[in-house]
Amino acid sequence: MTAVAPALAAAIDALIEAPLFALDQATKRQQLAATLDALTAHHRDHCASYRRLTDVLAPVRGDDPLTAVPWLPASLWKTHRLASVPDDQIATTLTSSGTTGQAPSRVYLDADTARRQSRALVRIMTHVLGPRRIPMLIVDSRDLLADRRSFSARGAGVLGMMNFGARPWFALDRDFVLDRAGLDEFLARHGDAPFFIFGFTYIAWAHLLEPIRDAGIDLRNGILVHSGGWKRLIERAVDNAAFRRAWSDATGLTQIYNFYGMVEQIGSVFLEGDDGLLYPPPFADVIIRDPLTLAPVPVGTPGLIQTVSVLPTSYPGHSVLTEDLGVIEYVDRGVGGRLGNALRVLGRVPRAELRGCSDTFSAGAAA
Amino acid sequence: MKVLCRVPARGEVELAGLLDDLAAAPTSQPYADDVVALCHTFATRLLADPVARVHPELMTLGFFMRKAEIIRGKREFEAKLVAEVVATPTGVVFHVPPANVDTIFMYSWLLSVLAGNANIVRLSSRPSPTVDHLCRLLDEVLALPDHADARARVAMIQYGHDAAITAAISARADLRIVWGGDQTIATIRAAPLPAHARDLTFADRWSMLALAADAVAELDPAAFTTLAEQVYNDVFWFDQAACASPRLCLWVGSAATVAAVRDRLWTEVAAVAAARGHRPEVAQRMAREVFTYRAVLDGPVVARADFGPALTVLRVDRLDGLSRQHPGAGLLFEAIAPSLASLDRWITRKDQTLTHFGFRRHELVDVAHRLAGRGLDRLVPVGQALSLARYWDGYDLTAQMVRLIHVVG
Repeated sequence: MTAVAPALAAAIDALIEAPLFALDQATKRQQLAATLDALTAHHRDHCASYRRLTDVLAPVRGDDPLTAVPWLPASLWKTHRLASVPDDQIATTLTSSGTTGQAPSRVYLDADTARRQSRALVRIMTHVLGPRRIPMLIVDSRDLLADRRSFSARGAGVLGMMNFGARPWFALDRDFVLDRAGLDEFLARHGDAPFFIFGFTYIAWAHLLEPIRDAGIDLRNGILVHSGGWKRLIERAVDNAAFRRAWSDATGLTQIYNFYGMVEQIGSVFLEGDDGLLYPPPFADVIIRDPLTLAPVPVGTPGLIQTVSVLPTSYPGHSVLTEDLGVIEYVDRGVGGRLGNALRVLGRVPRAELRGCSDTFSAGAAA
Repeated sequence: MKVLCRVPARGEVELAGLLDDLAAAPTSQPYADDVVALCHTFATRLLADPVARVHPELMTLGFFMRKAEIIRGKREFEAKLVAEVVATPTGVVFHVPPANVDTIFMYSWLLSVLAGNANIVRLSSRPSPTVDHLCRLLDEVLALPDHADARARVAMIQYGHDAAITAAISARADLRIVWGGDQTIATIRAAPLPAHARDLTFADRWSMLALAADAVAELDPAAFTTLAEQVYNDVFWFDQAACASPRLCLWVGSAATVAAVRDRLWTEVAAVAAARGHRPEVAQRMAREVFTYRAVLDGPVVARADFGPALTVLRVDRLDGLSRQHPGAGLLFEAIAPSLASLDRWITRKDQTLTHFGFRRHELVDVAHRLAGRGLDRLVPVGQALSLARYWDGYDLTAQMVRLIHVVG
């Protein structure tokens, strides 16, 4: 028997439908912890590997029930098949693009988890886009969706987002060059009313904004949703503020929402608020841990980002320790009406230098 | 083809000319007086050097090169020669040291220069303040008038991953010394040597620590702290990534005795780490964490304990099925066994060093006899895991560096 217990399923669905950003942290923690504990029990019952890990490894706990939920390191899905459903119930396998030279993460979704992820995304995206589907401009190439059985994280992200736009149009050709004529046509048809722009942060910058920067194109009715990390933009000295300013100056676009999410917890999207910080939805949360002791750190102290989410039932990914660094800037401040944790993502853990006597050439090549 | 000649500091030079010069350099003899003097001068300067004083691995190198040590080595070398043999240099030796243990290139060169050879050493292009410092110091000493001959017999060069350069040097070498890893050895071996020449290779190895629980339990507090310091040095130098860095601790004794001392020792080792200001990098700490989860899924790990941020101990209930993967930087597997014989079945050729405490010599000799060369090439006391010695990876290194001329008459 692999089904999720009805009480647990009901609790998850209730959290998915709860109002966004409305709960104070203490109440939210209480609600989440009970469901996360039930998920820990569920995965222990249905995933032998997870049971073994939680039997052997006592995680570094905190003093509240949320921080006591055991976690798995995100990169475990790069090397191990961790699923809580039998193979014949896996509907989709998500893969991360991964860092160069590394195996991608593989995350196994059954129909229920996929459905919950979609519904969760609906909750968050309607908050941004309104209840009606509006025309959608995708800053990517249609080729991304060639293989429908196994998607890269980018492909899964685009595909997930396509549910929220009408008549999606891919703005880039297979060589990632902007289709200028197509863009003019899209704007002539839809530019006078709200429309949805989706793209990965760097791609949106380099392949949409940069080619049209001096072209006087008007995107003021656009609502840009972007994600994927800042690494390549930080290299160009573009931070979130500079990013927003550049769009606004060049195109009049001001409705810009960054979000933070990962292939291990698709659907649990942390959405940017008016203060530029990222807010978890009611069915997910964030814990910051000391990078060396892994103990939870106080608000305002940077550390490793751990995310919890009640969405994953087909794989034990309800509590994941990432290799991202971040800081909870404040809690329950109510900026733009949002309560709960306000997260700033600070980027990936910097790579360590290899030592040892077994890497004459490989380390030399990496250096 | 041009290479950057760091020692002697000549800048970019033509490789062909450099190889010609090396081949034409004045010849020497094993343990020639001028070379012994060179080592002495270098060691004296290194041991007095303010930079070296804060780098334990440089101090170790300095002690290794002191005159007394060199003379002791000379006596040992001469004592082993039989009357009808004359020991001579081997010729031109090509050294390929590892990029990441910053001092190996010096040891490799040292053993060979003492044998009287001409040496060409490939330095990694990876920036290393330690290597820079050693090169500068050696260049200064070689510039002294007494060492003109020795200076003509050395070239420490830097070049990228250029197979043509490796091939050109290999074609002129009488002996090629390749310090792992396995990948590097395979790459370098693709370049042919002259028919008469040899490779001396140091493959990837794995090492461990054996502690006699009774002996540890009997230590007074001062001796206990000393043991912890020695274990710390063995485990944490070179980020636990050297071939000889212990990665498994085998406690030999009863479960009750081990239980009584185990956590006390690791707590003390962690205290040494803290006192010395050891802090892992975040990426290393993460790598250790991820490795721990993988090890639980893939091997016989039954418990995990952390001792501060520096040390994670993973207890295994058997050696069977324990893979020799390791993330470096502060992780020890830990097992309990009734005797050292429990290692016999598990040891493979990959295993290099058994660092030990609390055993009698005959027990260790028995291990060597029982294994009969299947693995473990060094059994040395705690604190000496990383001390390079004449006997290494099953070789008498000094003997490997010379030719033995049979003279009957």
